Amino acid sequence: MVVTLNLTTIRFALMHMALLGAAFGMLLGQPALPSALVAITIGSFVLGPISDRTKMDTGLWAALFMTGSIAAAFILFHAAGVSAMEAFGLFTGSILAMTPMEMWAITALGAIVVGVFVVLYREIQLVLYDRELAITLGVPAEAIRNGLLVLTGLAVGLSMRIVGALLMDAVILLPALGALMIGKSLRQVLLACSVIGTIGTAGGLLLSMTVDIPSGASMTAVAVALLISVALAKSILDKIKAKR
Amino acid sequence: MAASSNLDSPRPNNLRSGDNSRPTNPRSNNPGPDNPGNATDVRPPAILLEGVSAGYGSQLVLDSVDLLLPRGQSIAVFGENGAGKTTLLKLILGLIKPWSGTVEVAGRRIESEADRRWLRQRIGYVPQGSIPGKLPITVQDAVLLGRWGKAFSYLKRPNKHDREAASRMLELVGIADLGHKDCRELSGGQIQRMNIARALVREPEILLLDEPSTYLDKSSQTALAELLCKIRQCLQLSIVVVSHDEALALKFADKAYRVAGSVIEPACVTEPMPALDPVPLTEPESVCR
Repeated sequence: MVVTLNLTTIRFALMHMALLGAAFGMLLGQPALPSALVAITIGSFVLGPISDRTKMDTGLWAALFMTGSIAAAFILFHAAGVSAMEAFGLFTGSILAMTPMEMWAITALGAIVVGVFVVLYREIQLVLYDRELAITLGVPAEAIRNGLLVLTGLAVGLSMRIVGALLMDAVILLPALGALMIGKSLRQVLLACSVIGTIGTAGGLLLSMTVDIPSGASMTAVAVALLISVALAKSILDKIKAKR
Repeated sequence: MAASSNLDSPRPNNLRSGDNSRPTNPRSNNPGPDNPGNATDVRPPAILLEGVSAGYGSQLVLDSVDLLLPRGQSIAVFGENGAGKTTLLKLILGLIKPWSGTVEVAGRRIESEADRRWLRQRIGYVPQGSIPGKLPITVQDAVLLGRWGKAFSYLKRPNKHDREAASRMLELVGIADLGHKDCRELSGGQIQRMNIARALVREPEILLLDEPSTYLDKSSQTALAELLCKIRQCLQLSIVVVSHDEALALKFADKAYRVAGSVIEPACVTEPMPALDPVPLTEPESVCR
């Protein structure tokens, strides 16, 4: 979704909105994750319609949301008496430090994503393939796009707890890039993305336990190695095909 | 406000007895199978716009426009970029509402959401510059998507009949051998054929094409014009082509109009293009049903 809907800037905006939500939560003495997820959901609902209404690229609005959110978050941190290091801690994460509630949240989101794609597979395919065509055929393209934005936002929020915000692309972007190289249909891309993501996460965790390095960094390293391997394998296969 | 222009009589019966626009294709006045819009057709016109004004925000784009497309005929609409050609198509598609005037498709006035749903069943649309994005999708699947809302939708998934219909349309447009290829690997001409197949797979009564020759070289443009002639004869469709490429559209259109200064008027063509050789009507049954 991040790749095909050109959401590469938006994921950063949503990440910073999560920080703003967490700041609100801390100011009110509440846990950071739920308030961060609420902020992400609000941001996901607002970004799509506002870019439609102003006919400006969603990425441009994302830049505004990103800078505005982080400025507001640091003002709130200052008001709440939170130190800069403590605030930066919200950007870090570890799969080994996840709470049961966070595990349940990730499981529930995974089930929702699978359910949405099973029920709305053709409609999502149409919106991702050609939004204008989808609209002319009567597909509620705007609602589907906004729904995908919300799911992406929630995935971003929860990924921050797995590898930390700075390494989030290891679970959000890299598996999708690899899948897009080898998949010949949306179904194949979704399956390949899940397989690459699972191998990257499990392999990274195994590597972390074996050589005693931070889990987030090892998962990212495995994901990068997987992506390079997929790219190389595809390039070699394409050359062999061309020679035949 | 620009003056209203009367292209054709807004009454379908009047059109059959006389037409104030200049024919731009020698075939347009010839009765017989090559000119399906003949005098025996008493059905309501495919498209009828009466006194339609439309725009965006406070900007008027089309002012009191009349347009009539009889069943089985084809028209070309020319105009500079931003003249209002795409707005005209959006009006016909029900994507924007007219500020004033009425839009009728196949005799039904398009006003409510129910009308628009009904309308979508009858129109095949080839959008401007519709090129495959980043998503991998096979040509067969991309064509199949054109049946959404007609043959399948939320709870009804595509079946064997839908896949066969997609295969038939790929055969009709001459790219049956590319069905399993990734859309991102197609040439410009192949993409346009695929887009036309996707519009036709809805089994429409009316085909709308927005700038179909964009990104095509000369030989592909000629091939496209031949394909549209063939489609019209095979499927007996009413066709509207919006284009800035007059030469292409005049190869198969019965009449031509120009959009300029918010009005639509019959196009003055200084050098009419020679018509293409007629495509035989006896196509193989599997392709030309």
